[in-house]
Amino acid sequence: MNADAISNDLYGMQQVLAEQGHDVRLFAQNSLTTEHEIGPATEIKNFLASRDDLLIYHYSMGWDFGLDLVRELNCRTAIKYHNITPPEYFVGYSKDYENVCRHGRLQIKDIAQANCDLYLSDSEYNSWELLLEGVDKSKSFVVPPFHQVDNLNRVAPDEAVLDSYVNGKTNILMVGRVAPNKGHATLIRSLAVYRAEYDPDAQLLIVGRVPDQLETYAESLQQLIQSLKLEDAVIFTGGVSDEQLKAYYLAADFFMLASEHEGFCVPLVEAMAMKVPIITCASSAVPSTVGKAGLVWKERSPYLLAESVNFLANDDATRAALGVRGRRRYERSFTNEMIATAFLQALASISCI
Amino acid sequence: MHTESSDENDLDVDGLMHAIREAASKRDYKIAKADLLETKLARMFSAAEAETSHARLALSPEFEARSDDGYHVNDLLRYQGRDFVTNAYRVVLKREPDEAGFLHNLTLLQSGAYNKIDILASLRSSDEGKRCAVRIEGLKLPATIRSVERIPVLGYVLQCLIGWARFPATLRSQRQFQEYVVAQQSLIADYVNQLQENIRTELQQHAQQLTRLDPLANEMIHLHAQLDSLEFTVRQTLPQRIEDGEERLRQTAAQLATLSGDLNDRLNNISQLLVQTRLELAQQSVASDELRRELKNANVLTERMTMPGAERRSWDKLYAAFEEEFRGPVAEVEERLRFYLPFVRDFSTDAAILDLGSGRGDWLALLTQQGFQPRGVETNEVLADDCRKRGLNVETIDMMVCLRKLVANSVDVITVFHLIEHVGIDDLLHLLDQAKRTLKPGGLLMLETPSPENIPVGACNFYADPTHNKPIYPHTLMFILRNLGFADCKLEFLHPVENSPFVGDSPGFPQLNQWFFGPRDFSVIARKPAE
Repeated sequence: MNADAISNDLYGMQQVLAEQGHDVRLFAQNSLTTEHEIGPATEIKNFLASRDDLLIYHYSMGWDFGLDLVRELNCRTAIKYHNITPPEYFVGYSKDYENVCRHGRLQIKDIAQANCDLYLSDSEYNSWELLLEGVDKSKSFVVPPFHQVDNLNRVAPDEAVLDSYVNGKTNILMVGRVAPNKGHATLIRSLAVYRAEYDPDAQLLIVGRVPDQLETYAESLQQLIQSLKLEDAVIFTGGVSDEQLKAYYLAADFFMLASEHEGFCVPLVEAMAMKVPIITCASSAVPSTVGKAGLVWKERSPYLLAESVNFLANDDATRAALGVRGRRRYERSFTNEMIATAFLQALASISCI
Repeated sequence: MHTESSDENDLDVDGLMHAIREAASKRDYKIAKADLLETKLARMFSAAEAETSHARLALSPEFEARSDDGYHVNDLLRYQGRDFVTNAYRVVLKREPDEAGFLHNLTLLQSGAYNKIDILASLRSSDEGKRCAVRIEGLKLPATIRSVERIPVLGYVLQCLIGWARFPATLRSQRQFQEYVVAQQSLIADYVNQLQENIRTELQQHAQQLTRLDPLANEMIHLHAQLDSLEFTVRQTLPQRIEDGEERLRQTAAQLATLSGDLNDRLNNISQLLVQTRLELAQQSVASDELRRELKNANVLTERMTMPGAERRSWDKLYAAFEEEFRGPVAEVEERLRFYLPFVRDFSTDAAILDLGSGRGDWLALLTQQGFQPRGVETNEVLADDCRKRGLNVETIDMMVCLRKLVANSVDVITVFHLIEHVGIDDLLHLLDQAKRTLKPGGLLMLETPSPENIPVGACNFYADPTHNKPIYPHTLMFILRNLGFADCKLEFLHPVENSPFVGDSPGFPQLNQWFFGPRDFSVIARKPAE
């Protein structure tokens, strides 16, 4: 179940709609998973034959085929906008990513002007981008992405991970793809400051795969790590199973995020649900996801981040309270049930239910 | 959905972040900012540079030095101008050209007077060139020819001949050069076009980025406008509101001051009242204590004290006369009283001596004669007046009241002669108790009273005085005194009756004598134990 955030949103929507009695199928141009049945994109037109049918296009990269579908299909169309990383982040690391993202960003305008029936966005930040491109406010809804926190709560944590990392050392956790917009450099620098000033044993655990073609980015991070002499302190775990992920959340003392661009950031919700205190920098959708349930710094400063860790590490009560805040925010705003309700409400507005 | 503000978790996140920011601003970090921070822009630039598409235009191929120092002259001849001179130096002299040499040779070349062969030859034949000893195949012959061509007149002729012979080759060379120049120009043109294309693409990207900023700029303008209007409104209304507020505050303050002044006054009054009341209460309690005491004393008062004034006086007169009648002549009484003088003489003349129920004052007079200064108390005013007239210190006051008023351990001798037979047992006990209290340690109590062991006295004569109560049984009195804690109690029987017929040892005579002619009085002398 190594699906990414977008896939989980897809599966979540499928489940909710199937429970409502609809016939739901998933299509993609390329898919890697064998667990879910995913049909080839070319069959979409056959499946969505009548006017009452609905296409939900999860938009996260430039895809001409998709744009054509949206324009040509005569059934109802909805866009789920997951935002697209600005291509500048990939300059110097991957030409392909750069091109795809550039294409995607340029296509937002076209998608917005394709006059779909519904525009769903993961976050306010995403919806704002659509509105700027001319989407009608009455068609725009914010529906957070479906996630796997319920599964995370259910599974038993991986023992090996717990043994390795629950050892008295301060663990700072970050979960997410190893991609250039995720701000790993800032985290590494913050760790350097924190270790030099307060706790020379602290560790930074970076849980997430290095996608193909972004090895140069990972290498540049390694260079930074070496220049700061943090070879033993920063651990890249690569892709992990659900059990391992749960163990990492349990072992974590803090969840730190310094992303420079996020459409929603599901790991923040996972951290909140697991009561891990959150320290982040404000950028794109991060403040609206975290709210007041964590520390959200306007500046991207390793010193502020290090100082935050120190303050919370020395104050058990505040740390626990922050974790509880996160859990409450999750329970009040981001449970799958609530997301399902928002999703169905949005669909009801175009009489799709 | 609940809002954040209804969160019962009291955590003040803003306050926490403020504290963290304060701490960070004050701290001197070991890792300096310069070592850490790198703006996103700088990173982008450095990344962009690495993958630049603006490659430099190189019109001629890179020169590759040979390790075996063996070259063909054509290797060098294919270069032109600056490149040629530079590479010539690199090959022949194995070094970069110095500025002077470079310019010199370039100028020579550009003048046309010297060609590349000349330059190469001159470099090779220099001292340095000879030292480097680089082999250049195909140089020698052309160099030689050139040197011959420089011979005046003959050289010119030779040049012409060679030139004519080489004319086709020259033409070919010319064509080659034309093509070369054209090719170079195309290269440059292509490069420029590509450059233009790249720049255009970048500009497009930047433009796109800027358009993303457009809505932000609009938002900012909008916000500015809002801010301006807000500022204007605030400026208009705020000063007035503040002033009004301040005025109200001033008034309120003034009111408060007045009120508090009033309050203070009232409080002061109340405190004063309280103090007064407390004083009065204290006084009253003292007074009531005294009253209580006197009430207790009042129990001791004899009936006579409760008599109204005039009646009292006539009774006192009567009793005074009675005393005169029945007490006996003064001389006789005095004689009897002398019995007690030895005991008194143990004390100094300024001893405190108190005589309770001093009556005619016989004992007092006797004491005064002896140099003492006794005090007496007597409730009969007539008798008391009489004593006072004779210069004796007598107070008309009930003896119990007198005793009660005395400080403990203040009297050396108390005498109670022919008094205790007048009082009831309760009063007697009171009297003895108070006597013990008021006597100094080692002080004396001397009592005299009729003895009931003398039967006529006890059964008949005793009742001559209507104010007598009951005879006191001597041994009972002794018992009481000892029980009260008096020490050295002495019992003496005094004043036997004269002319007893029952003298001798005839049967019954001692008894009869004792009963009928025995002592009329008894005395008890007791001492308060010393400390």
